[in-house]
Amino acid sequence: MWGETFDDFENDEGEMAMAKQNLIAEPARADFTFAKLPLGIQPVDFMKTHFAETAGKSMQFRKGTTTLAFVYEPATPADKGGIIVAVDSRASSGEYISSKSVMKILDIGDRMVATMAGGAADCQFWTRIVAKYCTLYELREKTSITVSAASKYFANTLYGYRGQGLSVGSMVAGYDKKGPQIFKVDSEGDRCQLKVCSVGSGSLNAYGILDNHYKPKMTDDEARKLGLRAIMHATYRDSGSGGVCNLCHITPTEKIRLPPMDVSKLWYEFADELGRDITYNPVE
Amino acid sequence: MSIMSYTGGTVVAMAGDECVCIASDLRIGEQMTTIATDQKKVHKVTDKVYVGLAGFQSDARTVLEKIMFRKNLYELRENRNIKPQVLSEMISNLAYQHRFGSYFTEPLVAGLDDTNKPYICCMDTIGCVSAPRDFVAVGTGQEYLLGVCENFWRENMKPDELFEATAQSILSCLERDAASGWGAVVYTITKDKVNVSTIKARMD
Amino acid sequence: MGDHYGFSLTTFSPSGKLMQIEYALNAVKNGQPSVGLRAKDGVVLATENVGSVLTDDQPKVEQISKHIGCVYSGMGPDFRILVKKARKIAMEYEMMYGEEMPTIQLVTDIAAVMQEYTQSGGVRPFGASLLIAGWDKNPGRPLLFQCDPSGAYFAWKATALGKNDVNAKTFLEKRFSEALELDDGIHTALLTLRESFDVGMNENNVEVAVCNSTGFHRLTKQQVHDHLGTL
Repeated sequence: MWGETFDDFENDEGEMAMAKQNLIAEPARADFTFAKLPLGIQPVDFMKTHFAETAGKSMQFRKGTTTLAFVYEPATPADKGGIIVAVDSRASSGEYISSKSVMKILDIGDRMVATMAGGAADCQFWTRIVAKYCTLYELREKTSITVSAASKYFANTLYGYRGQGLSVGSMVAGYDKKGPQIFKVDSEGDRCQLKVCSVGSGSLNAYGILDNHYKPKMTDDEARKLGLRAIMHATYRDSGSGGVCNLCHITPTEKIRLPPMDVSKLWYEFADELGRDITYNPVE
Repeated sequence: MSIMSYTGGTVVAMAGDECVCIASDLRIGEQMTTIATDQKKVHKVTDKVYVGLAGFQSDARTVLEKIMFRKNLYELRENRNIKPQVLSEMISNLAYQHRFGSYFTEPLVAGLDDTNKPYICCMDTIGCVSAPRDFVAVGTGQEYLLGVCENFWRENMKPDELFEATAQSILSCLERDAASGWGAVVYTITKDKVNVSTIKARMD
Repeated sequence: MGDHYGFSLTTFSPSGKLMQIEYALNAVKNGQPSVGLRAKDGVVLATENVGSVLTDDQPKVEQISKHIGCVYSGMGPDFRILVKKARKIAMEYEMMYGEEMPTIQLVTDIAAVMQEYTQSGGVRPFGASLLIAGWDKNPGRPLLFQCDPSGAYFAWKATALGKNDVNAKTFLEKRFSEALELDDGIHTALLTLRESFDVGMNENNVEVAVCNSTGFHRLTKQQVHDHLGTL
């Protein structure tokens, strides 16, 4: 009657956008949301009912790990120094070994790594989220993110889900402008910086070796061997840990992933070195 | 974690042609921690009869002493060696006597009787005997073992074949059972000798 | 029996004898005779069983387990107590070890029971001796034992209990042979029994049982009649 007005046009645009949103737009990747349980069911109770030890083996989350990381300074100018990150590769549900070859060192960008202990899915998923955050940060700020900032984002995210049954024990390690750094982050919301650190069911065993043999200044070879040895001894004592030892050496300039080493072979090698008698004579 | 897997450990036995094999791992743990790696769970009862005790090892030791007590008394009274069939019946009764507060151990008997016929059997904690003609397994690795034994077992195996099958079976089991491992010991019982061999296994 | 409060009636005489046991043996000696004989392939038990014409049959031979049975001379009521205990012992053994009780094991256990009654308070010794026949599967062989009120037991090839046992044993010494087959054994046992019989032997006053690899069997009246016919 009055002819088209500017307002009407604006409205049309709105409808168009709405139609686009509803019919042709892809689901947004950025805002990942979790499915909510029906009203009245507490997540923790739900998890207890369906995923605890009383449930079947396939319903239990994979657990049991030894991970460690430490920083060291080069002993000679020929050495690089930096951070050694070493982990085992076993995933177990109770006494069942569900995998012998899990990679528990996850990349965050090309300078940082996060280790994986606790719920495997939780670690993998949230590390992915942290990696995404770091990439966005670096694109936005045009400068590389510090390990401190990345780990703090990680810890804050986990804190947001505190009490809902997440299980994460991770070490974020990497080199930044402040030097080599390790932050331990867990699903309780804790975050702390450490020079020598170990997480997982075999961590106490690993600490036993680390505390005995760690020196602030080491050659690269010594440091790598220490990582291997600590993981090997942890897998020997802790039945939740085993498989191969994956080792990552983060130097000021690069991230070197070493080939996996079978911990059982390592044990026999070290036993040889110590002159330990491995033959067993059963006594009647 | 159940008390049955507190210390961990696995025992398996296979029957062949006038021979039996019985094998166990060597680990003793306290839940996830490995305490010792030189503890066999197979014990000699007579020259040709062996018993394996999986489960909670404190109870297993007590049960072993009770078994030996009864077996010694039997042999003195009857002036003859106990047959594996009789021993298993005896252990079954011993276990059922504790029906309302049982020992947390699953016994396994393997041996040759007086005609050198192989006999193997396993029980639950309160003495329900099952004596198949092929193989038996008890302990934390039972499920894995029964699966692999199914593949390795053949009719009328000779002692060397039987040893190979038993050793391979228990080694495969140790790959997947975190509560057992750290080496294994295999007894091959034939009519005129018993061969004992320890085998290296993964140490994780 | 150890929990009985009291003093044993079986006490030593100054000469070192236990008179109660002697008297119990006298009770056996006065009992109706029984004969046991081991043949090559089985054991024979035979006994006189004379009752009043007015009473119904009361068996003297009893089975204890599949391959074990026994007969007695002496007091019937005491015998039945022993049979009850023997059956229970045999069953308990079978339950415990999953196989039949070896004869010698049963004999030693029964002998132990009989001995206990010579040394406990508030009881008297049994007034019966047993002849226990058995067949052991491993190795397959016939066995014959005698068990006395004192708790003593003996392994026999052939023997007799009860009235005229001395004469019967002398007879057996002459007639016994290791080569005897079961049927000949029954024949010999009946002949031995006939030695002390006052009246004519017939299927109503004689009981016979055999024990071989197939188990312990009492002969039917017809079978006894047939065997008596061949004497």
